[in-house]
Amino acid sequence: MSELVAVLGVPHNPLLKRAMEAGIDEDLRATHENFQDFRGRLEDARPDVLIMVGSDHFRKFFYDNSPAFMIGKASRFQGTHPNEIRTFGLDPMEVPGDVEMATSLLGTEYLNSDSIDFGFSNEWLIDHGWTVPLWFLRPQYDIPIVPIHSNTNMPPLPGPRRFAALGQYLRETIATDGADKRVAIIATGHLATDIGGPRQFLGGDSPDPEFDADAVAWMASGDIDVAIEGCQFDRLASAGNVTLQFLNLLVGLAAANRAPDFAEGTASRFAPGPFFYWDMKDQS
Amino acid sequence: MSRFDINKFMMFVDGTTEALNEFCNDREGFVAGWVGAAEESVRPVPYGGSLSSDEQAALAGLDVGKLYEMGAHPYILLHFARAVEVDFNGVAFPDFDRAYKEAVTPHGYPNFAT
Repeated sequence: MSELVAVLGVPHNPLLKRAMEAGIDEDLRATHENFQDFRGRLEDARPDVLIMVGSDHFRKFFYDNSPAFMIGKASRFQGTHPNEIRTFGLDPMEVPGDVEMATSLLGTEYLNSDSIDFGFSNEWLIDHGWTVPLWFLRPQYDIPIVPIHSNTNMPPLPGPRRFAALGQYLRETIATDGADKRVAIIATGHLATDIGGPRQFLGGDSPDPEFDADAVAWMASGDIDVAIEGCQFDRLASAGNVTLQFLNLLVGLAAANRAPDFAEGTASRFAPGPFFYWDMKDQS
Repeated sequence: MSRFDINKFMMFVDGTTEALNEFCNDREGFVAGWVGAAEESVRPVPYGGSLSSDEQAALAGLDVGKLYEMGAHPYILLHFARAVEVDFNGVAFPDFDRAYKEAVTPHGYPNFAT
């Protein structure tokens, strides 16, 4: 059986890279330090594979083809899309994929999961939802990944219970997969964030500070049912038009199944970012 | 009227530098070509899409407020408008952001489900 050694919840704001390359100003320092800290913790956890749960931003999965949950099953993944290179200044990158782990999660004949009907992709140009967390957390791009896409952008979405089920499924499958790997899960999403709406780019202010405080408290409680109850669609949508990506962080909480060792909504030049960490070594 | 077709158009333009240049160099011509192509669409990957006259005018005229009010997805709309104004026309981002917010704010938060 494999071992879940770490669970991380992080932001993936693509504007951070260009801003930080220009220097770590005071309004970026806390975000920088959190990513540095998480990078070290991930290194210490010595994972063999990173299962990365995020949401494609209309680049790969669009309104003509929108799965609820999609597992990337390929021996390598390249990033990112031309418009993200142009607009955000992101670099093209490549990272190996873990086909064995992806197959374990999917199955080979019928789908293994009784709770989620996964789609799969054998070729997937990943976007900043995966490349930015990797750039911060493992810039060597040397640990194989299994990317999992969730639809949090194009309603109707899978509900919060499905995200919790995904986390539970990952935990249980990792523990019984017959492999002998050290596994880290990286979930990425937003706290209250507005992109393309009236409350975007508020100079570091949150479009909904009350939501941020509530959301961090749900996570810090370690109680997945509290978090599920909090994630009513209208509540998330009213906190900003892409706040629904917070749902991905429920995967991390459900996979860890306990209160995080670190939980913070970190203020920055942009909307506050979510940082959660669970050290899972020697938990089994 | 179709939010899907508006979103598809904007993602196509923002998707590649070639499409962005082509659109910016002749916006009305590009929109006309897009609509015309949908009628001669080659399966299984249709190019182009059906757009009402209001939608064509809003896209060719870069009428951000109108597109937002129509229920364009805000993430897609922002990046489409930004690509045209900032990446292509060289507008400073703070100026773009100010104008963008002025355009969308009167409309609140329209439903953008397709």
